[in-house]
Amino acid sequence: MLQRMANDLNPTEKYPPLTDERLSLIASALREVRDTTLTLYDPLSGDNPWSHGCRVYARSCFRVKQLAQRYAWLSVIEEEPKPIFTFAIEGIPIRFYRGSPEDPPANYLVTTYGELLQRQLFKDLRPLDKILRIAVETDREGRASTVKLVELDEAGEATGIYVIPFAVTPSKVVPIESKPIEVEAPTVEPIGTEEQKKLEQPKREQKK
Amino acid sequence: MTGSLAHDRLLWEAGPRDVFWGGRLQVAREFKALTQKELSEAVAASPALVSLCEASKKNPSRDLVEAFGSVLGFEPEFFYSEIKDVFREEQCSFRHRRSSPERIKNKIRAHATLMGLVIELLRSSFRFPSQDIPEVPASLSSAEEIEAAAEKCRSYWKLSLDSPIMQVGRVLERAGVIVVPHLSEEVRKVDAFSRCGPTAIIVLNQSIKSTSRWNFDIAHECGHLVMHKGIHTGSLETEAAADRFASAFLMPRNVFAREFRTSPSFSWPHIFALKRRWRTSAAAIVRRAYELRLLGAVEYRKAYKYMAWKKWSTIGEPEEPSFQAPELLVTALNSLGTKVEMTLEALRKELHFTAETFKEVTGVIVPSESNKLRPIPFSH
Repeated sequence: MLQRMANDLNPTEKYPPLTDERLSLIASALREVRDTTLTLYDPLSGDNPWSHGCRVYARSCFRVKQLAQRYAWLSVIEEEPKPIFTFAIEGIPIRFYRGSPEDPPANYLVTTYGELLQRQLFKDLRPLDKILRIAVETDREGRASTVKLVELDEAGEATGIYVIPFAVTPSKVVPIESKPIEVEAPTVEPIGTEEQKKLEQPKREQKK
Repeated sequence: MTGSLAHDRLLWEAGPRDVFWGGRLQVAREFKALTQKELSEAVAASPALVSLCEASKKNPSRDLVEAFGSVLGFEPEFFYSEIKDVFREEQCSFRHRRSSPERIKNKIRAHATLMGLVIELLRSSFRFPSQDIPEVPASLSSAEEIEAAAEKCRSYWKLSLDSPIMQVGRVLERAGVIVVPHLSEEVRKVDAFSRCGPTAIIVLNQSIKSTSRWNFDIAHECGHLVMHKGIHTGSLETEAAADRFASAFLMPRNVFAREFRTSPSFSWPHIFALKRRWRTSAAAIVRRAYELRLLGAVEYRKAYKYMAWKKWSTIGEPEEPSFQAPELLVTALNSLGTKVEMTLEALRKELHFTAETFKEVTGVIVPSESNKLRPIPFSH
């Protein structure tokens, strides 16, 4: 398989809700969970790569669920069977795995039931004919080295990869705000003497 | 015998100059928040007599009229002329109406009716802005129609859909609506009142110390004036519709959504930045974001729980915006004796209010000979 160029995908161009700040928040959380869980890895007590992987996965799902409670743009999609975990950024479904972006595990190539439903809900958010995954790459010691957003076509081929930057702070660039409307004071004009006489005329006639 | 026939008979018996108008007695009594029984005890008459007088079926003796005036704060002559513009139930809207007792509602309606008398008299000396309120009926259940009504209203008054309004009260005053900033202190269950009729009026409750809420109250009452002309308001549906109108009028959806999204996640500093810009409460901003689906239900509930924990709805929110006090009425009253011949004292005399009642109705103290006019300062 040809090695793809990193960053040949501009997420915000194709998927506007996938801003750097949002992706970075998720990527940082996944990295932090993995690195923290690694410190608990204890082969002498019976831990092995499989149990460690399960633990990291469960904790990562838990962390994303916590974030979803805090951020309105992030949600968790109900999946059946339960171990499948899919989250969505403003309705765009994404799953994550540990491994290479160019070679995703087979079970991450299929479109899940939750993802299908989500596509139907957001038909206008094209292109959703591709699926999105977050690949967490690790170093030899098992620490998260890079986290990448991967776009896969129906054949499971990566059609775009984006290296998610860690710790992106919210953009300081704000759109130009329109000037508030200053409303002029209402006017109350004294009525001229002639006009006043006209107004009082009917009253006098009424009294007579 | 119908009311008008009874009145005609009194007119014939007593002669035009001595006609006692029962409607005036009712307004005066309700303004003082007294029941017929309480008034009858105060003036040493039977409740039945008071009731007959109010129905214009009995012409009270002069001493009884004087007693009415003395107890209720009016000169006896007050009761001897017609109120042409009575504020009828279907013309009036109360914010928080469902929970407010009938007596309080009657008091506010009476207050507004008396204010109407003041304005009617001032109109003989001043040219107020003519009434210019668009009528845009909207289905109570259609958020889209209500949003469109608010946007049409903004366009009608040539207010850009992209900007916050600095002085929402002035918008209404320029459209000929009199904004009165002082419901009496004891009326805490009503946030605001409005009346759509020959004299359109909005009365705010100053005892609620929240300028952002006053802005919202004005826009809410504006919603009633624009959408609910001739409709009985006070139901949950009409109030919710007026609330939605107020949100849409103060924070037009497109620009609000754009600005709300400048923060990638929910944060209170961002909400307060929006509050400073849009001059509405943080609660209104959070609600607006939820209405426009910029906030999820969970996030919205958490934000409300936080606000409840902070007790902002009772003790007030931080960073309240400055508020432009209503100007029409104060300007007219301040001009009395200077720009026009009529003085404040002459106005009071012609209305036949006592000085105390005049102060309670208008918020302005009638100066004694030696003192100058001193309007009650508008407290923020």
